[in-house]
Amino acid sequence: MKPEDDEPAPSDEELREAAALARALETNAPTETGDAAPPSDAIETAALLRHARAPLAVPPAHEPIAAAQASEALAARRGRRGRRHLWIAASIVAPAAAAAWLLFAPVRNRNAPPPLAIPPPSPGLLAAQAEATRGGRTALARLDEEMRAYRRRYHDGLRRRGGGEP
Amino acid sequence: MIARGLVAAALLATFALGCSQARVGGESPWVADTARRHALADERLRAGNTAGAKEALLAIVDGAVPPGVPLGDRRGVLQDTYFRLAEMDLQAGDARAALASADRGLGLGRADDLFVANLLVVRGAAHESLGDGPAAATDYHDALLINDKLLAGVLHEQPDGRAPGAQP
Repeated sequence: MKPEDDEPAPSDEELREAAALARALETNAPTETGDAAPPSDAIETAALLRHARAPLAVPPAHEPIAAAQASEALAARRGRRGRRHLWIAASIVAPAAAAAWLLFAPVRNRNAPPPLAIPPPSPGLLAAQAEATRGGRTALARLDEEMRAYRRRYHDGLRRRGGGEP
Repeated sequence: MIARGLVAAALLATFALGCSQARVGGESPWVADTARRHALADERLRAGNTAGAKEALLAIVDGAVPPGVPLGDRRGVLQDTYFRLAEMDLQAGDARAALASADRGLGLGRADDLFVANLLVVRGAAHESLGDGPAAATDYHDALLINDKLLAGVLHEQPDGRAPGAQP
């Protein structure tokens, strides 16, 4: 059984009110001679329904203001949409970048050459160094002289290990 | 939009893969440039141009080191250059500048190797010039300890030039 089946039949008063509302909704409907004028609540209800159906009209004087407000609202909406897109892109790109880094960083470390074994110093160089620890600028200058040959060997070793001449 | 993000992620991953597979070859030009500047400094010193020699060496320590250079190599090359700079400052009578250069060099790291021992020697000489006997004695002593280990390594033919038992 449907619920509407339980509803009682409309009373005479309800039927009169419905007829009054229907008359009030009719545009420029003339009041029939002898008929009573629609009740005020029917007129108000009809006015609200008409207003809801009527297209939005902006007075010409208010058009620039309305246009400016609409433009601002649209710009704000576009900005929100742009930020949302940025977040989506970042949420995809950042994890991908992190995953790529975690995946390939060990490969890069494997490619890095190990530190070069420092060439052994000559006994003469070590003697000059020991002599310099006794102080004096002459001994220090001699250490610097001894270091020149050693330095060339060291740099040559680094260059050979680094893949040859640039 | 999602497709665009996926394309960007794929490009990024390709870039990362390319970087990871690239051979680390940035060291060789850097070492070549360093060697060239040391040679230039030698030449200028022979000509009596100490300021010019120092300028050539400063370009090494002030320049950028390529990221592919192992830390040990970077430390060795830069510490050796700081030693030369400190030695030049000391010969020029500027013990404070020598001390600063030696400190910068030692600040790059410590090891029982020739470069650290040289820096300790030159810093000891700078302390001595400044009248700080105890600090000079400490540095000379530490340098001698390394020197002794290096000598033991040479006598026992350690192939890597480090003292026996030294940390790499």
